[in-house]
Amino acid sequence: MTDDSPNPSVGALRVQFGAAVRRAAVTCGETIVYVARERARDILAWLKDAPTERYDYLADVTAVEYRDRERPIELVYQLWSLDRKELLRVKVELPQDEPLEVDSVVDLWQGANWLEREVYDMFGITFRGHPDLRRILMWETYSEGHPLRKDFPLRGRFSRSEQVRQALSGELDAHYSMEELSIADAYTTLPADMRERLRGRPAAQPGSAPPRTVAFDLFTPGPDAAGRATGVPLGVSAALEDAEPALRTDHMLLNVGPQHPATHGVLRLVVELDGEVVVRVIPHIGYLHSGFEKLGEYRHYNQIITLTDRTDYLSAMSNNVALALAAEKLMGITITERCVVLRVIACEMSRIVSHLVWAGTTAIDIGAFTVFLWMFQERERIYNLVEAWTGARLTTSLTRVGGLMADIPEGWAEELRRWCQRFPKTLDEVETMLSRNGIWLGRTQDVGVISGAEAINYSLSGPMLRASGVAYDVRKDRPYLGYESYDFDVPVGEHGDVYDRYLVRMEEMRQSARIILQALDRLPDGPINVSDPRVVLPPKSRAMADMEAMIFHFKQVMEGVPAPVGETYFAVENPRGELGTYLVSDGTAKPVRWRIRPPSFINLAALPRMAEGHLLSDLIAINASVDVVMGEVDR
Amino acid sequence: MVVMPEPSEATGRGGRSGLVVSSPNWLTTRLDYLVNWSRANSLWPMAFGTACCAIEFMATAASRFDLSRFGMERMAFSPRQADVLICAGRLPFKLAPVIRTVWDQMTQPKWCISMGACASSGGIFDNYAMVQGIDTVVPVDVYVPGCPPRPEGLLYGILLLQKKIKGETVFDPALRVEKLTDSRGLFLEPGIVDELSEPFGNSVHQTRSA
Ligand code: SF4
Repeated sequence: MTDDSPNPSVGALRVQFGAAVRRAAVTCGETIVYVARERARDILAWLKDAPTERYDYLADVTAVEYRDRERPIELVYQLWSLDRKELLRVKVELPQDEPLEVDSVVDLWQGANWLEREVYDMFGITFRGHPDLRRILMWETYSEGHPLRKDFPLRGRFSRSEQVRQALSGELDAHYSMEELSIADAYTTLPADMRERLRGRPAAQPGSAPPRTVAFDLFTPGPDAAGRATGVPLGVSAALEDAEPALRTDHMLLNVGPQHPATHGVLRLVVELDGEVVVRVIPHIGYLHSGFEKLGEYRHYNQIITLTDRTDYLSAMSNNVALALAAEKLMGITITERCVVLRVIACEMSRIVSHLVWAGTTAIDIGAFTVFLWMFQERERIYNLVEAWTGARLTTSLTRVGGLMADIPEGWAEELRRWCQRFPKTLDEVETMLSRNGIWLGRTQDVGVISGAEAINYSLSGPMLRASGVAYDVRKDRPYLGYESYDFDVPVGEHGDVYDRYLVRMEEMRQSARIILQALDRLPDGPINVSDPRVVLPPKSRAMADMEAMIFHFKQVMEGVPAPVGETYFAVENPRGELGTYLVSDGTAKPVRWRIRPPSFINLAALPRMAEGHLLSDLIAINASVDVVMGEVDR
Repeated sequence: MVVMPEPSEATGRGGRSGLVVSSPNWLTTRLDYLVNWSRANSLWPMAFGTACCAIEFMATAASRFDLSRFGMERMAFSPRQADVLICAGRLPFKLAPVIRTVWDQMTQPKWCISMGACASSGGIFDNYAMVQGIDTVVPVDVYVPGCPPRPEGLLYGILLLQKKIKGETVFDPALRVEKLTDSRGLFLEPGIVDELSEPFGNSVHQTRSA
């Protein structure tokens, strides 16, 4: 690590905060500033708001513990400036012999809420001033410790039978917070303006006579000339409560999930209801926590690719690409031309595949079953192509560090081209069914609205952010794989509701097909792997016949490919948003830390904000529009 | 949890209703045939989909593979109206009480298919978070290997389950008795659980981090 050519923000920070900025370093072209723990929050606040800096987007919060236990634990903030398109990593060092405590930044970025809880859960770092510092992935009474600490054994501290027994004999309050258990009084303590918002209309002016009758709005919604729904809401008007004060009832606690068809996996939502209006949503996650990041520390880089398939299993191929790109950046490997283009194809194919599932399942949630069948039909077609290339339908393990596991088979490119030309017709059919369908509009428009500024504050990314009008797309803003040379548009919504998210995703599929066609046109001949025998396995036939090849084969399989000391944060635009891979290496073939910046985890954290004040049935639509993949949320 | 009377030691027969287990005769085998035929061909799945395997389960239910050919198109997302629990995907410890509750809520007769390597054995996740095989938590009838199994694989597993059902008899009171090692505990003896989830072969070396 050297101190040359760091980000200019470092100089500005030194001027502003003097000795609180401990040092700066540049690794893999990325700037890291180490700051004093006491001033960390002030420095982050300044970086967020200072007009010359404007690091308004908190991409990630995580921590790193090194294998050498003498070194302090590092708390890592990845900042991104949406305007200036500049990345900055701020680190706070926490010595192991002092209490692991630091000030929370939730008041600066709402998005930090769950991220800090995760760091607390996994590393045991306490965030002072955090509103709700509880375990998030493991259950509340988990007694084995903090899994990502280096002294925590991979298989846990207890024997397998003891672990099963403890899990099965779970206490009630391990799964509910005390707050939830005493929820019924919460509504009356809410501030008045919030209660008004929850009731969905301004409160009656004091002194004015309450309406006499109960109004029922039973219009069937339909699109107006601009495509927005008219005639909503369908149902009982909110005047009911004022007309019949006696109808005011207690709040009800409803548990949705973790095994529920509309939660898209094992998500659990504890919902506080006032009648049918959602007063509060408290998501409980971690039911699919599989210890990916811990496992990654015990695997070679190429073995981690197998794990990436299984985090976000709807877009396995672009996950594979993300990991390979990050590892290659760390190792300084330049991949071949053909490999670059094939990886672009892989990324865009998985975007389509993933959005297809999203559209199908969301339509089911809102009540349209046919879309599911149509979308899965297309998915089967693309599965066939994926299978012909990688041998697997879902868990592709497509990439290798320095290349790909296989080249595309003969005639495959033509098949894909034909599919890309034909497939938008299915989208047309679906849009004919849904886009101006009265029920669809009524269920999705103005539901789950989040404004652009708030979406940034919650660190949303991908279609969730773009539907709110913020055109942040990693492919355009920090291009990788030569995306800057493709001609494609980034669809952006304007209302930030469920309907706009639907439109954005539908358009993204068309744009992906467009990118694939361009990529197929320019697909160059040549090798798919770099020619370095220390990185890429020699062909098996040579390994059996040639001594040198055999040695390289053996060394790679047994020892892996070592990466130099350093670290990198590499983001790609996944179907769900910015998928960041943060790799820290200490010079061995296994990373010290493999951190996934999980877009759907961060997007899901905004669910309570979007759903509160809507009807319970809207909660299902809003949750569907977030497009969570629990494998990635819980990792 | 099903509490069925233990067959009495002395006679090997028992049952609350005083059913006498005698050797099968024409009447009982015909009745078995009828009952099993109807049970096997209208299995309502309780789709306990957790991870990647659930996507393949969805593909199995969708247009190309069409689960309804086997009388299974009615997805019962409520355990009370389901016959076969299909655990599609990995089962972390945090989810273990959930699948157990779901299983306990299902009414008899019920069966369980463990879909995929994770559900069957923990798969590639030999770590602190993962139950090493759901058979430590619920009894499993059919294991479908694969990561994920192809839809054809799952369909084959379902056919195997149908075959198994066709070999059952309604006259055996001990058929569905579940024995727990303690009231809220394991399905298998702790020693067996530990032994089964012990690493073997190459994976012994996989706990070294550098
Ligand atoms: S067996 Fe494989 S595909 Fe199935 S849940 Fe486990 S990792 Fe995913």
